[in-house]
Formats: sequence, structure tokens, C-alpha cells
Amino acid sequence: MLDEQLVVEALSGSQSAYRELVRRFERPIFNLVARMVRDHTLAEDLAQDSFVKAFSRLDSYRSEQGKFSNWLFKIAHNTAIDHLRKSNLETYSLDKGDDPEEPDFHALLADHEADTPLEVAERADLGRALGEAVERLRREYREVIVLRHQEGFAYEEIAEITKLPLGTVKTYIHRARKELAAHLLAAGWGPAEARRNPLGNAFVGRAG
Amino acid sequence: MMMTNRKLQKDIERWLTIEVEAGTDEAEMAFEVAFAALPRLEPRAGFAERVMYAFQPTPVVRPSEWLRWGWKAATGGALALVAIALGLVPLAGITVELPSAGAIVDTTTGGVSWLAGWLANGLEVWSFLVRIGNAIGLAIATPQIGAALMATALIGAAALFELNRLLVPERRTA
Repeated sequence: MLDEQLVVEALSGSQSAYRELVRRFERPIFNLVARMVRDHTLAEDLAQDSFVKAFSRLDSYRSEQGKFSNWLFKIAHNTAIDHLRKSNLETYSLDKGDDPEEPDFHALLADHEADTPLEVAERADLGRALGEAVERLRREYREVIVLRHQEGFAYEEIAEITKLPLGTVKTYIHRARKELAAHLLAAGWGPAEARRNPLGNAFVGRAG
Repeated sequence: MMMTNRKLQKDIERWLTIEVEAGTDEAEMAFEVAFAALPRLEPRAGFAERVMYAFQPTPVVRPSEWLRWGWKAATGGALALVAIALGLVPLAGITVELPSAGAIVDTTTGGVSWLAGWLANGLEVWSFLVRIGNAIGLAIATPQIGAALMATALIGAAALFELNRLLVPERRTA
């Protein structure tokens, strides 16, 4: 069933339709918000707020104006941005803290599809390195790179969600990629000749 | 970094090489392959339940489809019966005498005058109440009467207070 059909059902009072919408979008929405705020517990709260806000004004969603996913991501983006602006929180780390209930983000980064324990470990290493590199990006870069390369949104859709000009979105993604490459090369990933000059002319990225 | 996973190594090296040398759409595609190693972050189990608990949708109460069709059928049936009944009136030889226009006018004007009289009676009651209120107001406005009323109210309140004070121990011992 299409998202838009689920919205119609939800508006007619179907609890299961609401639940299905959460089930479909909980992971991508949480992933985006978590990458933006870099705090698991806060990301859960903000993702939950995003759903509650979206459902509270579900009757204002018009399918003619775009896909439901774009509308929902826009709300999640605004919720996270509002929070960051209010609290000026940009210094959280995804490293595991003292809370025993808090999941280890780096453990989550491990990919379980590889075959041998060594390959699992290597993919986990790469996932960890990528995660750390993503974490070092500017918040705007983190957001667009996740929307583009993890959630598969088109440039135009990202511009709509983030309310950024299309050219800016393209520039951010390009720079984010460059910076990630620079971070990974500096961390020892990549071909030997590139590792010798990890921050060569092509990499003028800036972590921040 | 030495890796035994050849494909993973090739993916990441390919992207990093292209990114250094080209930085074009090809680099984006290569990046996509390498970036797949970064799994999505996930909320803790039970996230959907927590959202549903926080939201608690209020369902829009709408009559069921059956009820709506039943209502339509009942209305249609009633109209059909009226039409049939009207059609049967001449067949049954029943003559219906319609009132003349003069009689309708007479009835209407009579009704209007009755309504006016009824309203006037109602207003009489109100004007009587207004007169009483006016008299009370004038009396209170007089300083002596006002002071007497105030004193009476104070004495009454003091008496009630004292009575309550006397009754409390009795209630306790009861």
C-alpha cells in the first residue's frame, strides 16, 4: 500500500495505519536525526516528536504537493534544527557513555552480512572509520550526505527538505564527499600512493 | 590499512582514487558503494509503541457505510410512501378542501396579534420586577437604610460564626 493511501486510512481513524507509517519511517527518520544531533537518546526524543507533530497535522498534508516521505523528513529536519538552534548542541559524541542502556554506536556500525569473522571485523572497522569521518563533518554536510547516500533522495528533494538552494545542496554533497575521503585517507584507508599524500590538492576539505 | 576482504578494499580504494583524480559523477557512484559500509543508526526496540503512546490518535467518528445506506433507504421509502398516498387520494374519492386565501390571511393576522399580546404580558412581568428592583435600589441608596442593612448583615455573619464555634466541640464529643 502506498504511503499516501495509509495517510487517508490514518485520517479516517485507523490506528494500524498510523503504526504502519511509523514502522516504515522510524529507521530513516531516526538515522537522519541521530546523524544531525549525534546523541542517541536525544535523537529518539526528536524522532518521536517529529512523528507526533506530523500525525497531529496529518490533515494538512496534500499529496499533490509531494511525497509523504518528503513531507515527513521536512518535519524531522525542522524539529532537529529547532532543537539545535535552541540548545546550541553541536558537541555531542556518539561514543558510548556511562549509561548502560545506551547502545554502542560503533557496535551498531558493524555490518553483519560479511562472511568470516575477519571480514565482519573489517567492515566494522570501515563502518567505524566512516562513522567517525561523518561525525567530523559540519552538521549541514552530515545531513545532506545522509539524505543523499543513505536515504536515496534526489538533489531536488533534499533542497525541498532542507530549504536550501539546489546549487548549495550539490556543493555541500561534493564537499562532504571530499572531506570524508580526506579523513579516511588520513586514517590510513585507500591506496598506498594516495595515503602518502592524504591531503593532496584535491582535498581541501575542512572538518568542523 | 591492510585488509583481507578484497572487494571491500577495492570499493574503498576505487572511490578514494576517483575522488582524488576525478571528483565527478563517477566519484559519487564509487562513493555510494563505499558508503554502504556505514549502516543506518536505529532506535531502540519499541520505538513505534512509544510514538503511538505519545500520539494517541483520536479517531474521527463517522457513521458506518451500512448506517448511511440505511438512512438513505428510509428517507427514500418515506418519500415514496408519501407520493403513493398522494396518488391514492383522488382514486379513493376523498375530497380535500383547501383553505381560501382570505382564511389564511385571517389566521395569520390573528396569530400575529395573539403573539403580540403574549409578548406584552411577558413584558408586564418584567416591568413589575423592574419596579421592585428600583424601589430596593432607592432604599439601599439612602445612607441610613444602607448602614442598617450592612449592620444587620454583619450581626448575622457574627451570629453564624459564633454558632459554628459553639457547635464544633459538640460535634467532636458526639
